[in-house]
Amino acid sequence: MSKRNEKGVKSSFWYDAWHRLKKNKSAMFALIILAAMIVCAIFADYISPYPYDLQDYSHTFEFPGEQHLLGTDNFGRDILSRIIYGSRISLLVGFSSIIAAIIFGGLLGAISGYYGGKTDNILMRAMDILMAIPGMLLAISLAAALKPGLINLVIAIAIADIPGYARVVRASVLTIKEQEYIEAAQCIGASDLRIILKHIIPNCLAPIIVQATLGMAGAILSASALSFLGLGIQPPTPEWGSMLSSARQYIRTYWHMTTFPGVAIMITIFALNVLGDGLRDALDPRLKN
Amino acid sequence: MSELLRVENLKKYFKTPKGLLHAVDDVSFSIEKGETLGVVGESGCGKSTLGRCIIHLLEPTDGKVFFEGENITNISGARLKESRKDMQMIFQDPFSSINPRMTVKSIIEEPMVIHKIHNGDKAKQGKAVLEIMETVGLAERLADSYPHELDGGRRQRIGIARALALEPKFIVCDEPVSALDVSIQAQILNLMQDLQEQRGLTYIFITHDLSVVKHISDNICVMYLGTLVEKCTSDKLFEKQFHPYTQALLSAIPIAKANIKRERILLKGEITSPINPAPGCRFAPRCLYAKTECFNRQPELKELEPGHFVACHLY
Amino acid sequence: MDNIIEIKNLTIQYKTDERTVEAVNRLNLTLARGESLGLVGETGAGKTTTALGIMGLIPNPPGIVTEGEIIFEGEDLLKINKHKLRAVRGKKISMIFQDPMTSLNPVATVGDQIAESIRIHEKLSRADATIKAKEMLELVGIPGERYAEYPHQFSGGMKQRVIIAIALSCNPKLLLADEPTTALDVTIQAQVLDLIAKLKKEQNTSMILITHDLGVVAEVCDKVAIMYAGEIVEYGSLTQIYDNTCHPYTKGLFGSIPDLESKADRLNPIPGLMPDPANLPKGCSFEPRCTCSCEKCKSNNPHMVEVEAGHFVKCFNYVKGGNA
Repeated sequence: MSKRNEKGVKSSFWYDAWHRLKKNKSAMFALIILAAMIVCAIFADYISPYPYDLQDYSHTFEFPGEQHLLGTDNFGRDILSRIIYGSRISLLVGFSSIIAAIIFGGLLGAISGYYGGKTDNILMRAMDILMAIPGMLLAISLAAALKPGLINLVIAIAIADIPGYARVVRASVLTIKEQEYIEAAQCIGASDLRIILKHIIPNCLAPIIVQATLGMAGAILSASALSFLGLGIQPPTPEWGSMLSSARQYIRTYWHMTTFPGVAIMITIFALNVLGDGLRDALDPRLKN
Repeated sequence: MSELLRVENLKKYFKTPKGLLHAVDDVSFSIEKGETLGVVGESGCGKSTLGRCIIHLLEPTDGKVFFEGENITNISGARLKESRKDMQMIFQDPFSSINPRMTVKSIIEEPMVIHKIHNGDKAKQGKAVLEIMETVGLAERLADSYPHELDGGRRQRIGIARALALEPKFIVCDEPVSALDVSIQAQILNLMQDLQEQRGLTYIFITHDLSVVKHISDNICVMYLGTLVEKCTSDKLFEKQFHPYTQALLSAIPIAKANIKRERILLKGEITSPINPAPGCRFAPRCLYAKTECFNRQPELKELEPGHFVACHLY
Repeated sequence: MDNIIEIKNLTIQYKTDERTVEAVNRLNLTLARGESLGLVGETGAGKTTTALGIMGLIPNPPGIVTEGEIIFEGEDLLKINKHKLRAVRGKKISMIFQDPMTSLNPVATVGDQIAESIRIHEKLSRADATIKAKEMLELVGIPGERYAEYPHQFSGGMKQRVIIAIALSCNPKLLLADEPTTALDVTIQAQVLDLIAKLKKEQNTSMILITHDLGVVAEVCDKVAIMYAGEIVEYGSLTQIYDNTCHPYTKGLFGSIPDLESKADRLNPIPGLMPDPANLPKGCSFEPRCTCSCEKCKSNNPHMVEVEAGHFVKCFNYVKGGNA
């Protein structure tokens, strides 16, 4: 390992992890799919063939064809365009709810693990209570209590996810706390905040990243499910779940209306899960060398 | 010579599910400026706990620690942070004692950043880091390396450099060479001796390795299950031991010489742990000469010869 | 001479995508029946790999035995089939591992673990195996009543005794002990070394003791082999190695140990570091750290030279006599 450094190439934990990830073909494939999706979501205005809310009553319920690659819905709106715009919402909800959950859950977990004792007990029992409620049910009740909408959707999903991150972070903090470099940091006079931010968090990023990737799949599913139930994004804003929901009454006659949004959800979830597995392998220090 | 550190009746008990663990029980000693005090003992004798109590990584249950005449047992906050500049620690495991996500340079510079030694003058600080790296024998090109690229010996040098960054007067060395190979161990021991000479450092050297402790220490404390059993100068201890435990310990060291047949004192039984210890001498259950008195009353340290203290009812 | 094991030209490599680690390089070693050999070297010298090679336990991938023979009682262990090897392993050759904390199964009683290893190799009934296991426990100084206790109820030294009992339960011809006392305290180490020496004498077992501690070797061994970067650099009897040290590396090792009897102010360590086993020097592997190297050492790897009867040194410039 030291050889690489002498050759002048930067070698660090993240560099090595990236190196290992690159070797994993399926994870790289998933990464490419996700990157393509993000590009689509950002440049939806340029990529999608029609505006997402353009209603064309002369072409309702059209099957996939030349003009509309994936067909049209009951209002004559282009399904492909709606799926492309819908990816914005799905990815946005996925990312922001996970980031919110990581920040709050991670901080709670870090405090709980670092201080231990009573603090740990109180925080973790609170997390246990949250965990005792099925995640979906919690999100539904939160979404129902708050008003439907993008931000409330994010909040509902994030709160349901917090305990998971708190536990993952707490567990790794407990292991890292035993390492001598934490004592060494105390010895040189580092404050608790500095120890948590500089010495503990960077060393438990790896499991958080894996959990986040896998968790994002869950968040996107939850968002779709809530929208499907009418508790998430409101029409006419396209969202994969709400597209499914409004198409379900036509499922026997117009299969394309349900199939394509469903496939979009499936591909995203699949890609995220494969990437998550790949990251776990790449970041696991036991697989090093 | 003047006294730098004095420990008086230091006690550290831990609560465990099985009872109160007497990790350090009533230990007193003092260290002169510039000398090395070796603390020897086997696993579970409380030697690491003792070091950690002195350096404020653990809160002692009872007793006092004086540094340069000042009682520092209960300091906290800014005063504690200030005292970190005087006292540092070198850790045992070169693999877990440095943060794997930080470069060599950032590890060594962290103490300077925390204590604002160079008031944010990056250039000065960088220069100081390189100077320390040179002192401990780390090549300049390693400044941007990560710990996992380096071997144990070099990692231990990083740990030493970090301890030196604040230019302390006193360093607690917790088994600094026991995780290293013999040839590397000798390099590190020489380095530590050089640093002591150049900077007038005072060491507490905690180890289980008797040949190392003899080599590096001026005075030696022998510990058994949290108590101090024998204390004297290093040369004297290896000439004449009074305490039966010290005798057994010394006779158990394998010597790297052919055809030396020594009389070895084999101790019966195992080291127990000092949870709710019975009254009397902690060593009594394994001692070859134990009398009734040994099981009833804990012996106190007695000065048998000038400067030679022993805690044993035999004398 | 009646040799129990003969290792010829053993070469073991670990191959990964990026690099090939030459862990053991053309190693030659013979051990007479009833003798004990100390295999001494530092971390990464290839001691444990050699032992695993003898046991046929090199993890593959990435490890491959690329060359050599290991002749044990007239048979090449590298050529016989898996089934036969399994019969040899444990019954005729056993190994004691370094870490007593992890080599025992935490959910089985110590007695059952000894009995199991007896039953694998000997056709004994469960009851007979239990009786024999109890005998083995007594033999290593543990009261037979502790048969039904679990490993966590034992201290480190006691666990190591149990492991020794397992290793000796089938009266092996050869015992490989990989740092058997490194994890133990000095007074406990003394007890265990004493036990090993006693049992070896009683059962006439041959032993290869792997260690980095020259003191332990002096206590237990008849022969000593010093290993450096996958090769044996010096080999001879205990007195030859300790009193007539020839190889500069061996001298360096002795110079690195603080002497208990005389008070030297400074140690004489070997400068530098062990070479990267994936990138060994072309000539003598010790040359970059050697104080008496010459041009020849840089390009040629020296062969073993017999400096006196039974004392071999792998060096061009060895100087006879004494410790540095």
